[in-house]
Amino acid sequence: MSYSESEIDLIVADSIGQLYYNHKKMLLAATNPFAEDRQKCESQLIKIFGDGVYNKVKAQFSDGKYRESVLADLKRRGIECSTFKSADYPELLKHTPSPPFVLYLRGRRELLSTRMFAVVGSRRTPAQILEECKRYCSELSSFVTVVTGVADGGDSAAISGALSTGNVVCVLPGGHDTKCYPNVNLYKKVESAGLIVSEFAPTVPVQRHTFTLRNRIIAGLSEGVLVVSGNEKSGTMSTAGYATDYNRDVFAFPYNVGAAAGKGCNRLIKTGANLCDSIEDIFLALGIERKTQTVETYDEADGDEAAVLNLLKEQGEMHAEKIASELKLKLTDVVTACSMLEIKGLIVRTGGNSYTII
Amino acid sequence: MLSKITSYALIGLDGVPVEVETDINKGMVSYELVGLPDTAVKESKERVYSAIRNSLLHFPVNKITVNLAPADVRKEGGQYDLPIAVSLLAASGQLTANADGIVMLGELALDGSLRAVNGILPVLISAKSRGYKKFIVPAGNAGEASYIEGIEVYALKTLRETFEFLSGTPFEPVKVRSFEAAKSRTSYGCDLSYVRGQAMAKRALEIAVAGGHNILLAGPPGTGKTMLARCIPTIMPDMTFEEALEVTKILSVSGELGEEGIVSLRPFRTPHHTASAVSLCGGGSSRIRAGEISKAHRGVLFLDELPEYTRSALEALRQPLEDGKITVTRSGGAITFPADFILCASMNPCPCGNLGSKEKQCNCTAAQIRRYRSKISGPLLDRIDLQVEVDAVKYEELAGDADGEKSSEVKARVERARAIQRERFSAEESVTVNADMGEAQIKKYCRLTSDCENILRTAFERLSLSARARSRIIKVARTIADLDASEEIRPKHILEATSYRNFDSTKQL
Repeated sequence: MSYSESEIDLIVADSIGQLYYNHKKMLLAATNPFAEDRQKCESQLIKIFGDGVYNKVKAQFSDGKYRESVLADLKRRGIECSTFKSADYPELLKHTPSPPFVLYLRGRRELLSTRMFAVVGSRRTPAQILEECKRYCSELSSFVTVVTGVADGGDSAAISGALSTGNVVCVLPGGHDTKCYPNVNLYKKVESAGLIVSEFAPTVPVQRHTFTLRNRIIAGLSEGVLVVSGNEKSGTMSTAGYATDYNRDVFAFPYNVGAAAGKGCNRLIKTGANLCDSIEDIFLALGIERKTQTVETYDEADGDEAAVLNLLKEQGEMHAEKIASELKLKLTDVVTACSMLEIKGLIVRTGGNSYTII
Repeated sequence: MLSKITSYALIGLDGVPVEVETDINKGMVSYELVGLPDTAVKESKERVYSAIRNSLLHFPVNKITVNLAPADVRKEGGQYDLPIAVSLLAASGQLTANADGIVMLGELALDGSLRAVNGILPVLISAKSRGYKKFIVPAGNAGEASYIEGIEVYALKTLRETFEFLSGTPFEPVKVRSFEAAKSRTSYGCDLSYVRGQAMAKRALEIAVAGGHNILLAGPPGTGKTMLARCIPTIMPDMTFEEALEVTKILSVSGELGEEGIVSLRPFRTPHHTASAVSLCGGGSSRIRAGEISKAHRGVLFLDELPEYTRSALEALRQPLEDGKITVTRSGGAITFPADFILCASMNPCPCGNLGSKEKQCNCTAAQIRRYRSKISGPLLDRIDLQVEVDAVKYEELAGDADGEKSSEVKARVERARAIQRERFSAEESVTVNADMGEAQIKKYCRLTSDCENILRTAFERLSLSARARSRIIKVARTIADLDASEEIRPKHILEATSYRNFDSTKQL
């Protein structure tokens, strides 16, 4: 991987740990002989850091050895960079108010230039929503690249759905080589099949505020965001907030009144997000026309299974014992039917021996 | 003069005869007790002295040597008081009758009365097999002595009575009591019909007992996991006399035997989660004692809040769960205790306990839940065939008056299923119930039709089951088929079995 001089400038500026986003921006301008506001930036940096520190940073920035070492380190770690000046830097992200200077990449770089759609959910997502989310992402990923985080719950479900095609981008809240999440397996899978993106240099640790910073990239990369679950105060709300700011389409699953896992979703809908109860809603907004839907072929449910399925269709979620008493069936028969339906992927267990339809 | 009296020493659950020899000779007045006695036996001198005096007999004042042979077996406890006293009386010429072949055990009180001692039943059984026929035991031990046929046991109250008995006064031997009568006098305090709702969990218990499977109950606090567990013994087949003797032996040695003298109810042990590995499995430095798992032999070991137990305590259970017995090895020797029990464990679904609850929101992150569950190691989970969720019962259901099935009805089904298994495994040596099956037996007795194979395969893919779960599901399916009196395992049996596998899923939470 070879970088142009201006790309290297960005990578090196980004590698200097003690600088904030604005400082880096000013440093780049101050060291660029063609920049109009060069003088202004330089004097401002001196004002912030003082002469000594500024000169040190500047010297480090233009030190040939340091520059080489930064690139060599990235190469050693197997990380590629797409900088603000690179050809494949995502166009949508570029036009957000504070695009990252450098995207550190691991995986299939070509995904950066595809159409992207974000699917986010909180850690505490009900089982049937997880299944639903998985199915959505599996279908979406045949047309667009699914963007998400790497947390448990909604994000993980989105990833495992999209892994069927590999069109999945995960955005990390910290450097690649810091342990951000316990889901190492999932991370590795995405690394080999999809793409992992971070705006942070490989060793920058995760901090509380970096999650919100990361959310702006998820929203910035995508044409729209689907929020599958989220409390009123969860991180998914911040992603949705950025998406609104950036003028992206926001979709949200509707929830029952009082369901804690979906309070945020319902509020989004209340404040103008698109209610999403079918994947067609998303395809319509993206302007994608699908040919005939491919339905998974399973033997039609019959007998007890059909009865259970119909009851669940009517009632939503139900306890196995309740199903038995409602249908006047033996409990063992109901359990058998439910197991079969679960294996067929028509219903899902929501904990505590209750089942619900997908 | 020299005298010899026979007593008995227990090593684990088995024993050896001990000769109590007393020699009284001229010389400096002294009293020596030799033959590896422990402190309790050494202190017997004072008890024996007072008891003899208070029984209006004479304690010899000479050079006395008492020897307990064989000299290399440690003698423990107060049970040698009586033989030592009798031997002193014989050696001093006060007692002239022949006491050969009579095994004596008993602790003396200062007033000469006999106190009950631990471990009488295993002594009787072991001594009987060595050909001893006549025994003198304290009256307090008459209960457990009354269930052994073919021997004469005299349960006496005092040293004076013993003296008279040996001098020729006739006494009635302990009457043999029937085990059936003892059984009818006792009952478990609970019944499955007292548990409201929870039909799923009850069904799982039935399967667990029918096939001898270990079971894990997962559910929020206060859902009746403990109550369900307490009902397990009530649906287990009644103990046979042989089983009852095995259990009684262990409790007799531990000194936990009640008035009745025999255990006719299946044991239900609930060690607290602070229990150490040694207290669970057995051990001790000088005298090796049976642990909770042996005291739960032929019954149920209930571990409430499984993840709270120390890792070492839980891991120590693995081998006995597999073998049905435990060999405790110490520098003093190795002793094998039986430990064939059904393990019933309970746990919360997550640290806060509300996961899967309809009313309360769970505040645990997936990582916390993973950490909580990972406290139970895979190999241990491997030995727990059934994992069931117990859900919170609504108040209306609790208050409702629809009575559930009685334990006795479930027990009848369990017994039928056990009978099928007995027949099936009649040729196998180490296998008596489905849960004992190894890979070889699974291949032999659990042929799956292609239908079943297909379902099993799809289930594994769909439900992301771990490979370990396979044989477990098949074994449980075999038991369900037995309960159904079905010769072959049908798809529905497999399907039901897969629904008891909550913790196998490798799915992300």
